[in-house]
Amino acid sequence: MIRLSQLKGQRILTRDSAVQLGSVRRLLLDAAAGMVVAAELEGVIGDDTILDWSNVASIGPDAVMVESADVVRGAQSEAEKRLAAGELDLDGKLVLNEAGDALGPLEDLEFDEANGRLASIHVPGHALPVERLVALGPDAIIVPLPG
Amino acid sequence: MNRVARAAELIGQPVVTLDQATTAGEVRDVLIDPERSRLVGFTVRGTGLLGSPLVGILPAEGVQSIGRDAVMIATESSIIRGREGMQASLGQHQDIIGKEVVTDGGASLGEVTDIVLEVDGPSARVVGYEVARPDGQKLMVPISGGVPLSRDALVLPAESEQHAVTGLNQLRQSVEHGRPETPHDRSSTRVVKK
Repeated sequence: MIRLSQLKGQRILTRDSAVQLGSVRRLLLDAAAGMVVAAELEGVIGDDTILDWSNVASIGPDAVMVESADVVRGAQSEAEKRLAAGELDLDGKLVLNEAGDALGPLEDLEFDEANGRLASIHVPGHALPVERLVALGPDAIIVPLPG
Repeated sequence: MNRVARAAELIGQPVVTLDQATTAGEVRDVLIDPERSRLVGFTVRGTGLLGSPLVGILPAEGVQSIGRDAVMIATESSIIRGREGMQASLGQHQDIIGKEVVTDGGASLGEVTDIVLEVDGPSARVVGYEVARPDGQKLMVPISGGVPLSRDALVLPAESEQHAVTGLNQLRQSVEHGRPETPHDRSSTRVVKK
């Protein structure tokens, strides 16, 4: 398991040429599937800011390793463009349950780094186990009611 | 899970879409039909500054859940926009806050300062009125069923005065103990406005 807070700012290094491609700025979630699908990078040269999660080779204490510079690409999908625009940022976003009760601002998020599967969302005082989200949008993260 | 809430608590709550997690606006008015003691819907204004323009009407049927912190709707299109649609769904309406409350025995109790709703997931019904007496003292008057309202007054059964309590918690208890009978069947829409 790994947390969003552990990944933010981590540098991305290539295994084949030891080049630093940038560092992790945000994660892109597929809300309905409950999966981290990509990372958006900052500090890159050019427009290739999206790293698909499936292309992460290894996560060490000091760097996120990828095979080569070819694995990063430009933002293509609507969700990736919204991510790059900051609309889908997770940190501090209000977490609501689907009944309309606020659970607090998002403090952290935990997921399985091997497959991207979401494990829990952390709000002040609680870690909520979640398998999927109802929706992630510019104004809120909506989680299902437990049970 | 049912809960008892003041209409005033709902005003200003964000209206959030379940498909996109966007704020479509916030509750401006709570619309009730006192004669059937039911929630009709909400008017929705833009978020941010007070006095933001009206966005549209959210009919009760379009509500997925009335939460403690937000009113949840399926999509933005649950809100009826445009003058014609809004007028059609509002019908005739008037403000209930400030209306004089008179018992059916003919005694004036004071004026309406808030409405008490029992919220159950997506639906809500009116279970009482907060009334300010002329001396400023506030009463919570429970009601069981519909009550007539006109331009001039809201008429409550005389016995409701005896059941009046001073706080929301006491009203909550009386709501949980007695189930009101089915309200009668005249329809109209009223606006609760703050």
